[in-house]
Amino acid sequence: MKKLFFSIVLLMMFSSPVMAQEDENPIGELAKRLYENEMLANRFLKNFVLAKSQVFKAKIMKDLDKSLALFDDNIAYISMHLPDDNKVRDDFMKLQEQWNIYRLAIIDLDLKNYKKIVNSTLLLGTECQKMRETLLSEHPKYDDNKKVFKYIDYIVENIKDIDGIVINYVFKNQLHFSEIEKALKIDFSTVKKNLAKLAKYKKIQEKRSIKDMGNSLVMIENVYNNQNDRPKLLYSNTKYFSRKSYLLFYELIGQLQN
Amino acid sequence: MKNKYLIFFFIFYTGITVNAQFDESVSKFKLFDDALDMEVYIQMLAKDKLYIIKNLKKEQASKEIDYALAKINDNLSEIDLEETNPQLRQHIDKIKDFMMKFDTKLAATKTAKDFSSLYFDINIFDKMISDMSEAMLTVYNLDGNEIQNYRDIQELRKLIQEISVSYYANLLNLNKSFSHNFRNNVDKINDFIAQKSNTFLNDPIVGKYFPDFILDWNFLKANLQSEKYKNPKTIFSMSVSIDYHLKQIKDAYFDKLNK
Repeated sequence: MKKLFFSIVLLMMFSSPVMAQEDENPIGELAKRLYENEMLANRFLKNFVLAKSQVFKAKIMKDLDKSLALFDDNIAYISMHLPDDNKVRDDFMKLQEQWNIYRLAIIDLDLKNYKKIVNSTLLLGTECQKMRETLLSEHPKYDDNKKVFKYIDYIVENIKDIDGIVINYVFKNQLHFSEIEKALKIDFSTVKKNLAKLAKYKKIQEKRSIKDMGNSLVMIENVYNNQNDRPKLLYSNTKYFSRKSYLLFYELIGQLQN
Repeated sequence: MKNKYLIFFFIFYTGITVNAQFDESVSKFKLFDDALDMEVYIQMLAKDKLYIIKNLKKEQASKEIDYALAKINDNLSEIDLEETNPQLRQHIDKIKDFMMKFDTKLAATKTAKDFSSLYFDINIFDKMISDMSEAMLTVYNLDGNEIQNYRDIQELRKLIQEISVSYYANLLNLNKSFSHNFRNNVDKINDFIAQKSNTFLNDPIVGKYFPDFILDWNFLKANLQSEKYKNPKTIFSMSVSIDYHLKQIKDAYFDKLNK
């Protein structure tokens, strides 16, 4: 019995440092935070336009607060997991500076210069995407997980595009700034194609989710193209689509092998 | 040793930030409230659609229908995302499938003549939601006087919307069933007031709000029963005002029962 006890203790002593080394930069955790920040850029702008047009303003402001805090958390985590590469570190510093300015601008609902906020959001989103592509492709576990990343990319693109659809709609119908459609360049066909590709992925547990998202997308498109102005209904339908998409996103993140 | 705690911290922290993506976990009573609200909003939607078709109180009705549709959608989404009980899931999936076809029909209903057929579907939809909320009573084990009072208030909210639809539909000579519904529902509210007024007036939670409802109802009833003056615009405005007062009562019960 004593021998067994000491064997177990010795096993734990030697396995923990090995486990710790492997888990110091798990690709799953890094990917989750990088992708989250990339998706949050459009979400900030969506919340900004919805709050400005008084659509469920209290809920929207609460979501904006949570989203800003999440972006901050993720930036802190990512900063602790940068590779030893001067260029990457410089790019990250620039992103952080950009973020600090953006963070103050997005909560200023009196801001009349929409173009500035749209351009800053697009820039933030692009920088986050570049950071994600660089940090993940350089991770030692990237090649082992290439297939899952392909499907994660479809989900992330959909989440970003659905927020973009809301942004377009509100700018066009509520805030009367229709030039924005050219800036955001989003269409429903990309979202549909991504859903079709996801439907073919055998490792997704909940198949009904894809069907639900497809139905939800039909309803979103109907509202978007309808002559009647229904911003609350559009927000409600897109919220459902996003929540289902996020559930799927976390399911796929869970499939990444650390 | 230090690394093990660091890893534990990050895993725990991840848990918090993952959960931060979504709303806090929802109580069963809230899901029941969502279902009963849906029954009110589906009738509100019917009223708004009819008024929009006839170009009466159009701006107000358009804003309200957007709100009603969004709330039906939101509430169903919340129930769908939170509920895993197999018995309730059957109801939820049936309602979701129905919503897809209903959405198309709602958009295609352009005339008062089409409205009768739409209202038939609205009542099917209403029945599906009502069957789900009945099932929730059993699954969530909801009973007692306060639950019954809360259900009574939600029922009143629904009746007010149904009366508004059937009054105007009857005025437009759409279908004889609207006349029958109208009389039935007015009688239900009168019976409720006769039997339960004292209970609500003396209730410590809602007693202060109930007199406003009685006042509003008496004014609405006078307008509904007037042979000389037929004023659907007044009926619409009153339905909004009464719902506001009833919702105050409902919210007061909700705050107590959701603890």
